[in-house]
Amino acid sequence: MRVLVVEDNPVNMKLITLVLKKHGHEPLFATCGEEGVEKAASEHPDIILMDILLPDIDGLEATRRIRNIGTMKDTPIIAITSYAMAGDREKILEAGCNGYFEKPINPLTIMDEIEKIIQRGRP
Amino acid sequence: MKYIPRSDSLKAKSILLIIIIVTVCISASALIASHLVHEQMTANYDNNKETTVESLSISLAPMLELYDYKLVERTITSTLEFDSVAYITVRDESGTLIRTSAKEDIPVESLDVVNVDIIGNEGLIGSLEIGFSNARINEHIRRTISALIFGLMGFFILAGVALYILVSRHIVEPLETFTKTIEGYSPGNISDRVKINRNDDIGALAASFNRMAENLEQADDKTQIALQKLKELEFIINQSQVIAFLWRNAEGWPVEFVSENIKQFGYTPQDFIDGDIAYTDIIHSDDMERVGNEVDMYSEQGITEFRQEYRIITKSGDIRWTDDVTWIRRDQNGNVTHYQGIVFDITERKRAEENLRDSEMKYSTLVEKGNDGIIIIQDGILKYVNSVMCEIAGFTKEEIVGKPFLDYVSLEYRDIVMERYEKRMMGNDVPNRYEIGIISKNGQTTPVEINATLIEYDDKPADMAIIRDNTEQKQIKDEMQKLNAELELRISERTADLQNNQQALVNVVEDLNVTTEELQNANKRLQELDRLKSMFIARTSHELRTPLNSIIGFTSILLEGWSGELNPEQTEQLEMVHTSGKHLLNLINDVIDISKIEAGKLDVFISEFKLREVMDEAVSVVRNDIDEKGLTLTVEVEDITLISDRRRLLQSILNLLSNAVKFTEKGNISIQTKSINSNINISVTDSGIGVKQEDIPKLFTPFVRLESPLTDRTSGTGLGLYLTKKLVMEALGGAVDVISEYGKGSTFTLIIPLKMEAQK
Repeated sequence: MRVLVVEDNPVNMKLITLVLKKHGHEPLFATCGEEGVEKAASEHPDIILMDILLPDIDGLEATRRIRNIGTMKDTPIIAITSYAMAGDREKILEAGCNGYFEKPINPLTIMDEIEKIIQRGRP
Repeated sequence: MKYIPRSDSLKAKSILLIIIIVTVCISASALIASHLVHEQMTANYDNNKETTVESLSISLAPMLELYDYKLVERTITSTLEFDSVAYITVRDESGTLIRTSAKEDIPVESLDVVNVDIIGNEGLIGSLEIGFSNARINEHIRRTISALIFGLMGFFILAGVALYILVSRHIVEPLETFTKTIEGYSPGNISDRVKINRNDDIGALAASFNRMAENLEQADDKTQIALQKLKELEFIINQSQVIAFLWRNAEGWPVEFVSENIKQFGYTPQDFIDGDIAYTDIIHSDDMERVGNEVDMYSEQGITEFRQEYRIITKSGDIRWTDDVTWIRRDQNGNVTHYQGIVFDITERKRAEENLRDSEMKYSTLVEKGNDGIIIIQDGILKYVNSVMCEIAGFTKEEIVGKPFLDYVSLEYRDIVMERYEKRMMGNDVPNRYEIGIISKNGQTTPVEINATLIEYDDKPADMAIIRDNTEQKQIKDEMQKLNAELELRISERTADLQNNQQALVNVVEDLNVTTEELQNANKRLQELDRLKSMFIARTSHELRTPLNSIIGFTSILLEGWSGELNPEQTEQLEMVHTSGKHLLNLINDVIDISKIEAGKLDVFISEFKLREVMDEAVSVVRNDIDEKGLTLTVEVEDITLISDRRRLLQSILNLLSNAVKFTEKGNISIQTKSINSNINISVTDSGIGVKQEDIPKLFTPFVRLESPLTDRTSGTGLGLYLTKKLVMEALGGAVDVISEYGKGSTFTLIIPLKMEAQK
C-alpha cells in the first residue's frame, strides 16, 4: 500500500518510514499541511498518517481539505497526536479522521494500531 | 335453490299407498269372488246333474217301452256331449245292459255317479246311470274364477292409476310448488309467489299463501326501516355526549343498557353489562348517599321524572360532573322496575359557573366594598345604588332605589345636572367630571365629586355615576398637607446629615476605585501569567517529548534487530536507554496531567475492560525491577470486568506499584483485589520502610518528599501520589486509602466504582 506520511519532524519521519518499509509498504512524504493536501490530491495514497502539530496549517485543517477532494472522501486518515492532545478526540474525529494514535510512536505496534483503526471504519 | 325430490316425498308415499290399496282390493275381491263363484257353480252343476238325469230318464222311458234302442243310443250320445258327463249306461228292468256310452279321455277317478229308475206307463222299465266327471266341473269352475280374477285385477289397477293421477294433480304437485317456493325464500328475499291459478281449494290456499308472503314481505321492509331508524338513533346518541342508560331497580343499579359513548368516561358498555362494574361504583363517594336518597325519595313519591347532578369517576380516575335526567319505569302495580336516563357531562359548565361565581364575587366586592359611591340612572330613575352611596346620602337602598335622581340633587345644581344628563343620554359630548351637592336624609347638603359615564344597563342606555364624598377627601387632603410639611422639615434636616456622610463615602469610593484598578491590573497580569504558564508547559512538553519519541522509537527498532544483530552488552545498554527514555516520558506526562487536573481540564474516557489485563500490564512494567531487587510478588486478582477509564486506572496502579518497589528493599509485594458492593478495592502491600503516622497527610502533597533513609538513593519528583490521588478522585470517581507502620511496610488501597457513569 502507498502511505502518505505528513510529519514535519525528520526523525519521526525516518522512524515511520522504517516501520512502513519493514512491513512492505511504500511511504510518501509531506513535511507540512499544504504539501500534505497537494500530495493527497496528486498521488491518491491508500492511507494517510497525519501529524496534528504542523508548521503551516494544522493536521485538522489539512484533513478537512483532503476530505473535500472528491476521490479522497473515504481514504483512511489517521492522526498522530501528542499526549497533550489526547482530550481533543472529538475535534480530531469531527475534522474527518478515522482515528488517532498517540506519540510516542511504538514502532513494534504501530502497524497493528493502524490496521485496527481502518477495520473499525469511520465513526 | 333447486328442488330435489326425496324418497320419502308425498309423491312416493301416495304411490305406495295406492299400490297397497289396490293390492288389498284385488286380494279381497279375488277371495270373495272365487268363493262365491265356486259355491254358485257347484250348486248349479248339482242342479244340472239332477235335471240332466231326470230329463234323460223321462225322454228314455218311451224309447224303452218301444224297444227303440237306436234312438236310445242317439239320445245318450248327444247327451254325452255335455262337458261334465263322463259316461251314460242304460239297463232294463232286470238290470241287463241295453246301451252304454263313455268319453274316452275322462279319468275314471272322482266320478259322481247318479242312478235313476226309468219309469214307464206300466211301472219300472229300466235304470239309467250317468257318471259325471268332477274334474271337468272343477276345471271349469277354476277357469271361470281365473277369468274373473284377471278381470278384477285389471279393473283395480286401472282404478289405482286413475286415483294416482287424481291425487297427484290435485294434491302432490301443488304441494311441491309450495315447497319449491318456500325453499327458495331466504332472509330478506320472499319475493317469489306460488304460481297456481285454480278455482278449487288448492287455488284458494295458494292465493292465501301469496297474500301471507306479501304481508310478510311488507312487514320485513318495515322491520328493515325500523332497524335503520334504530341504527340512526344509536348513531345520534353515540355521536352526542349524552349517554343513555337503563338501570334495573336492584342493589347497585345493574345496568341493562348503556350507549357506546360511555367510552368518553373510559368504560365499555360490556364492563357494566357483564356486571364487572356496578353503576354505584362509578359515582363519587361524596355524592353517593345523596344520589341514593334522592332516587329512593322520588321512587316513593310516585314521580316519573327527576334530575340530579353528581360526580362520576372515570376509568382513569378523573372526576367529571354529570347532569342525569332519569325516568322511572313502573309495572301495573306501580312497583319500580327500571330507571332509564340520559347522563350528560357538565364538567365544563360547572367550571364556567364556578368561574362566573368567582368573578361576580370579585366584582360585587369591588363595587360594594370600594370607597366610591356608585349609582345607575335610567329614564331619570335611580336603578342601582351601592352601599357606599347609601352611607354618603344616609338612606337605605330600599328608600332610594326607584326614585327620581333629581330629588337628591341640591337645588342650585339641578338645572346643569339635568341638562348634562339629557345631553349625555343622547350621546353628546359633555363634561363627565364635576362637583355637585347632594341632599342627604337629614336635609343637609354634602359636596361630592361626580364622574358620569354612558353605559348599557338591562339592554338600554343608562348613566352610571361614581360619586366621591368631597367632605372626607378635603379632610384627608388637609391632614396630608400637614404631614407633608412635617416630613419636608425632617427630610431637610436628614439631608444635611446625609450630605456630610456622602462626602465621606465619596472619598472612600475614590480610594476603592484606585485599589480596584490596581487589583484589576494585577488580575490581568496573573491571567496573562497563567496563560503563559499553560503555553510554556504545552511547548516544553512538546519540545521535550519530540526527541524522546525518537530515543524510545529507535531503541525499540535497534532492540528488535531491524538494523542488525546486537551483542548482549549492546542490548543491555540500549535497554537502559529505552527504560530511561520511558521514565522521562512518564515524568513529563505526570507534569502535564497535574497541570490539566489543576486547570480542571482532565478528560475521562470510559470503556469496558478486564481488571486482570490491566493488572498484568502494570506488573509487566515493574517485573524487571522486582526481580533485580530480589523481591517476591504475589498477585490475587478477581476476574472482574470494569467500566472505567482504563488508562487512568493503569496509571494509578502503576504509580502505587512502582512506589512499593522503590521503597522496599527486601521481602514481598502483594496485590490484592476485593469487590465490595459496587466498588472494587485494589490494594498494594509492601514490606518496605513504611510511613510515620504524622507524615501520612504529607504523602499526598505535591513536590514534598518525606525524609527517609532511601530518599537520597531513590529518584522521584514528589508528584506520584499527589497525581494518583487526583486521578483516582477526578478520573475514576474513587478514593485512596493508606495504612502504614513505620519500618514494617505500607498498604495503599484504591477504592473505585465498578461501573463509572459518564460525566458531563
